[in-house]
Amino acid sequence: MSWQKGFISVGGETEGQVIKVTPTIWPGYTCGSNTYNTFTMNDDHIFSNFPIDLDWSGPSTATNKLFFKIAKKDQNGTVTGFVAFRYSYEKGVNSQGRVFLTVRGDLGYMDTQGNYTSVHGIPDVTQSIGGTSIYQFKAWVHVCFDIRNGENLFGVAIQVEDTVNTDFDCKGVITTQGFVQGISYSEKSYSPEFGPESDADGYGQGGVIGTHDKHSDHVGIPAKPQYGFTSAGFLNHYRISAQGLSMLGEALFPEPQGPSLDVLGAIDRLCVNMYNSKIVDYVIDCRVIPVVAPATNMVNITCGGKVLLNPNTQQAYSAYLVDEDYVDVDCGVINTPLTEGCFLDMISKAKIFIPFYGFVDLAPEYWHGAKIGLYYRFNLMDGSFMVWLTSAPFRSELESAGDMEIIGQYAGNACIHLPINSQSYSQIIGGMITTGAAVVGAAAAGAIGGAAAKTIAAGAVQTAVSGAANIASGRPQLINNNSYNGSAALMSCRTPYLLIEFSEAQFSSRYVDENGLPAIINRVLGTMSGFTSCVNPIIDFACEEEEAEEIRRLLKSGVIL
Amino acid sequence: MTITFYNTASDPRAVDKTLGTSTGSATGVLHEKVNSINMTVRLPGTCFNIVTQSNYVMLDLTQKYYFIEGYDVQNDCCYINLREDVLMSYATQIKAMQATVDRSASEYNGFLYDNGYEMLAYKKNAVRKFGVSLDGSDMILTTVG
Repeated sequence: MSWQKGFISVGGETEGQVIKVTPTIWPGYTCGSNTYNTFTMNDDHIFSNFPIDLDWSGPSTATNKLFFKIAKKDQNGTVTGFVAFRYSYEKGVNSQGRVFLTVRGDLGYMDTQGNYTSVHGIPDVTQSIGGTSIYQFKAWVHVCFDIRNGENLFGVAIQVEDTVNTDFDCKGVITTQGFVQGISYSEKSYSPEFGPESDADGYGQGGVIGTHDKHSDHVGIPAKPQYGFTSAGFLNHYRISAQGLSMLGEALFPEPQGPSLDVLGAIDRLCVNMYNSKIVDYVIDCRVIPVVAPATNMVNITCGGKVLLNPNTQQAYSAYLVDEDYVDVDCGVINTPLTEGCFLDMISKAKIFIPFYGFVDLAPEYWHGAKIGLYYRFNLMDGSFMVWLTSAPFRSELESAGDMEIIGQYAGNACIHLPINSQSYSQIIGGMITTGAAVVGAAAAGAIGGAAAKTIAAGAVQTAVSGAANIASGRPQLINNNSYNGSAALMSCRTPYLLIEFSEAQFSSRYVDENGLPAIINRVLGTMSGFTSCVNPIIDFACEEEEAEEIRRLLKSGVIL
Repeated sequence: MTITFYNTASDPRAVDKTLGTSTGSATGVLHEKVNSINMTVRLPGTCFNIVTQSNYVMLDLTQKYYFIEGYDVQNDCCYINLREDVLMSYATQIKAMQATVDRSASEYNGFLYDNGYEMLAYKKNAVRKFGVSLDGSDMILTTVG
């Protein structure tokens, strides 16, 4: 058995994942009891992680017990007791012939003489680990302390690996998690997977040089604006289909010819056309938006105070009235665990693609070992949008609280305005490419001649809905933040994603043993093990000068403790 | 002085070395002391076999440990060149030392840069998609009155 100081985080189904501590995991275990001993967890305490070889070749009812423990030290560094976990393992074969492993354990404390006192009941976790011919296991016990806003949580993971049947991989299949009351944590924390951070009492700490307030205030996604166009009530916003818009053109500009029309009827329709050529001025805008507009009430379409009627049936055209100015779209989150488990993760690069906006570079500290989210808010009235990029590091207080921090916010416009009103003609005419210009020309003529106008309304709608390819650069409204324009944005990928460029390292599996890994920590060397090198050690014991110089040289180049 | 011989397999950089069973002992005299660390000890020529089977000694006179760096036989005497193993000799004091550790196999911070890694020349790309796309579409007509 060896003791290792550090933070072990193993859990779930995959090694390396952080245990999600859920107090109710252990059946029959209740929190809230005051029978627990109170220990103050800080950097003087030792987290243990040690492999235990269990030989299950004996009878199937064989029972083995083990302890693992976290040392409690006093101010002088003397071990005065342990928070201890006691486990027993039982192997058996169930009725289906599957080998199972039963883990029973309880939490207690142990004095330095090894006397163990249980302080809560024994949870019973039974998991089938599959297979029928497993006789030898290698089991690891991992303990994970989860520092979350002083919630005093810990998790225990039993990792089991078959040592005989190499094709059977059941690492991490058994995970128990728990909750300990009475254990509190000091401000000192550990890098979850990768060992302790540098000493907090070093240069620049403790107010000697200056203090760095590292706390972070929470800034979340704001509420929707209180007022908007719909609340003003001055304008009518209808959610309308392409077919509906086509019929609307028919209502505004009825065809003055037809086999059933007499002369008076044709004159009447011409008069309607002339009248409606002014009515169209009351059409403020028609636009395609990339989201579904919330609309619940079907109403008659009015324009300039007039209910638009079907010229043939005299029935009013109806459409859904848009209820709100703003629509939110939550694109969800992406979890991106650390991959290499070292500084290489922090030199990986990533870009996030934000539809209607483009690519945005993302610093690794915001996405690696964190979850990132994307949240849109569209203004249906003018097509503008705000998109928030949010992030929450794993195991952070933020994540624990279910919140995410805004790390970026971007604005743009994501709609196509269709040229069906007189104002938009003049706005866009200058930018029209050939196809669009031809259509707009027809539209201008259609303001006088109804048939052509109908053509333009329907044609423009169909063009826009089918991708708006033909009048791309002429679309006037999409703000171009990343070499996009409106039509191109609608045609481009509309799935947000993270594009990651991983840095990968090549190193020997013996690298750590032979070279150690970087650490800037102040330690009594006797507490270290394996390869250890020092920065500039001070030899403060009696020896000859040449000996001191030799010791200093060796410690700087590295010794094995 | 009495010299106890060993044949240790421990890494010379190990503070605590595993000495195993002594390969023998002999009585010798200091022949030449180069400095505090390096010296030559003269032994009877009969000790030659012990010397050739050993790589490490402990001198009872100094209570220190030494590597055998070489030996010679002249005039029925065996001369061995010794270099003090300061790590083993001062193991207790060294382990009680406080020092700033910059590399360690037992405690470390993976997020400190380490120039010892060899980076792959190529990088790998991956895409992680968000669960919700902006696939919706609607058309809005705005009128006055």
